[in-house]
Amino acid sequence: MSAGIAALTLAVALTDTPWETAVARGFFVVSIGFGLIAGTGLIGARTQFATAFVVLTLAVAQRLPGQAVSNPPSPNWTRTIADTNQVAEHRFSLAEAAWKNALSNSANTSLLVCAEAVLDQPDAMTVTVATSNGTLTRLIGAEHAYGAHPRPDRGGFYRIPIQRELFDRVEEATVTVSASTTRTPPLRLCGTHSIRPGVDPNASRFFSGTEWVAPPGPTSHTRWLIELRLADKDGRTILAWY
Amino acid sequence: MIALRVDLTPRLDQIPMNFQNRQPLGPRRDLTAGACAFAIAGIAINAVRPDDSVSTVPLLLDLAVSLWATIWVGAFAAISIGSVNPGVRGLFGSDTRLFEQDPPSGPSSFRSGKRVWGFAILLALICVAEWGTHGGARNGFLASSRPEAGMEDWTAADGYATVLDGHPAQGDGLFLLNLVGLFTAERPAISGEFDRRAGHVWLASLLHRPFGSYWAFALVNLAGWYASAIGVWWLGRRRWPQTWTGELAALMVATGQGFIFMSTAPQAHPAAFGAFVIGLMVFDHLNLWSVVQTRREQWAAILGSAWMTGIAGLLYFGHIPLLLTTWIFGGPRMRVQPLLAVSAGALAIVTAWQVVGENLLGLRFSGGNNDLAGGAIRIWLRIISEGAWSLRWQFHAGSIRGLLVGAFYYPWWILAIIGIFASPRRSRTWALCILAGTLLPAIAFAPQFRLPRAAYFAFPAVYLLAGAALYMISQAIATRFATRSDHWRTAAGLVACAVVIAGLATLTNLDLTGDQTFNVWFHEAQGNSW
Repeated sequence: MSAGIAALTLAVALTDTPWETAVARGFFVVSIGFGLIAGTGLIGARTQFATAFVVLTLAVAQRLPGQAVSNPPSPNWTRTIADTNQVAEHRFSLAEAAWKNALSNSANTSLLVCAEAVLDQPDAMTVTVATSNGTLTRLIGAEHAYGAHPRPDRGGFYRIPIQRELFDRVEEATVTVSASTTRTPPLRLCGTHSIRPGVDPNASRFFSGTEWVAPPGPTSHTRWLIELRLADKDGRTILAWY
Repeated sequence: MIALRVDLTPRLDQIPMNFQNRQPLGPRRDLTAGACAFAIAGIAINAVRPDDSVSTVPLLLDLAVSLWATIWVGAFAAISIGSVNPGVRGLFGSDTRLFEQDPPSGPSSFRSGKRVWGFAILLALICVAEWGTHGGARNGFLASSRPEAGMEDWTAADGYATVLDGHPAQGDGLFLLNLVGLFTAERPAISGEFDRRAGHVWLASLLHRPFGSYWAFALVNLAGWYASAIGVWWLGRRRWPQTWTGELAALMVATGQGFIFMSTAPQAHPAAFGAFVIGLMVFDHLNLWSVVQTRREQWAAILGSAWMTGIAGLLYFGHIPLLLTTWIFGGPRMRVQPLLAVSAGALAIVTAWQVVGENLLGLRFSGGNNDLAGGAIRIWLRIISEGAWSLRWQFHAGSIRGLLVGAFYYPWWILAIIGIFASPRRSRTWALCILAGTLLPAIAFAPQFRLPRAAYFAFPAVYLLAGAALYMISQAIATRFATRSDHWRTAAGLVACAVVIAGLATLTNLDLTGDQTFNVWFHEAQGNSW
């Protein structure tokens, strides 16, 4: 009986499937599935029958209409900022308790921006942080490189310290990044997915020179890789926020 | 230990059979390996020119433990495997138990079928609770990669993450989807970093249609977790009969750091851990170790063991610790032909997938994670070629002590060491062979990456030895404080065990309070800090 079910499992797995899928399925149905069925025969006929039935059920379930394999939003995309009219913007909600608690316990605050390609100039991009307490504008270049930069032409973080007072009792901050006027070649800014619940799915946007649009990547839950970091007095990150 | 023996002596009749029959510590292979380790570690520390690795007492101790552990594992494995040669076997004396059935068998601690089912259900509930409370964004693998964990300086606020069906998941899941698509007939064969682990993805693909990617991988993990708990329970009942060792070890698996760390991560480890334990069960069930078998039984043992070992290799690299364990435990007690046959069969299964994948599907089985083992060997060769100082420095830079403590924190190691003394000889030898067989690959891989998750394959040995120690201690407490009746003694022993298990579970669940220390250590080892 179990042998019959095993044979039926193989038939279910292979029938009417592309040959590559048939080869891959066939290998594992025989090696793992049949092996399980044979192995449970050591315990007893009833256990073997139950295992064979479960394997067959799973093989059938694999063929049922159901959820398709969908690609998740890209965790690592880039957008070229070709001229000085183009602007990347990200709005931070600073009203949540997690941010406020961490800010009250933090010793220093910084902004991280991820960019790709060589940032070998001292003024490669212009970053502006605006809150209701004021505005900070800084030029970012190679000297601000932070963390791992596995290759000179790959993405990596650039970090600028920010006075904590800029965030005291504010509910929102807006960061804009644009290419500096002297920069060549064009700046490539990194983007990623937006996972944290409660974050506005439209918190990031892009000014193309003529209009504001969503950044590239997936149509929702995407953001520029621009983050605020709060650290304690030992420099240990206590909150990474976007 | 001495005090405990004194207290127990008048009540030997109340102590289970296993613990009455203590023998001198360890078979000679263990002690010889230990003596080698002391000698070589001593020479390495004293004869090689001083550097920062011996500059402070904590660093010196870290180096000493790392060297001792590595040399003991290597020497014990070499002596044991070498014992397939009659000449080497003779050096360590004949094994008088060669023709006895291994393992010893006896009645279990539970005499009631209802209690067995009740405990199985309890294990399931604990596994599901731990799995459920450490899923999604709380998954330890993912959480320990966030900037707040202090381990990575290249990850974004969400850590090394991907989004599967709307759920945050550990980032490697992204690279498994092409293989899932191949099995569900939605995508052509596309080579990826995890071609060798396709067995794990096939298991997930069976659940993909009804549950989607996230839950399919998570449910495979849960199945591996529960299978591991049940398997360790079974092994404990079989090798430490008449005690609660199996039950206590199973509870440690259900609340184990490695499984909690993986929980819902789309990773092959929980399935491979489960396959490893099932492999050990198959070896025992088929009496692979026994030479008192008919030819038919021996072939069944060889084929079954080879098949299960090969399956472990299709899920992850689980065939390597299984094969090493087979040779280390089997070397002194088996003929070489069955060991070769099991190894050849297992490697044939693993290789068959590579042949099929490369030639029929165009998979490359190279790049990324496929090449890491070869990379580790090249690093070892370079280090050795640079001389004794470089070799010793490696044990400082890649602290093996930090690797082992990352996998199992001190309380488990302390209990396991006590368990070595508390266990009957054959069970102890078996557990030490698993330790050596599982730690050897993790140590060998250490120059490339220090991966406590690779060392975690030792969990059946560590948890069972720890369970044996805990049982012995609980019985000593029960005997001392509850003398009125058997029921009171049992109750006192259970309370003692429950308190310790709850304490251990509190440590592994510390991440639920926001403290990721143990997850970070499990992710990337402890380093030189104590």
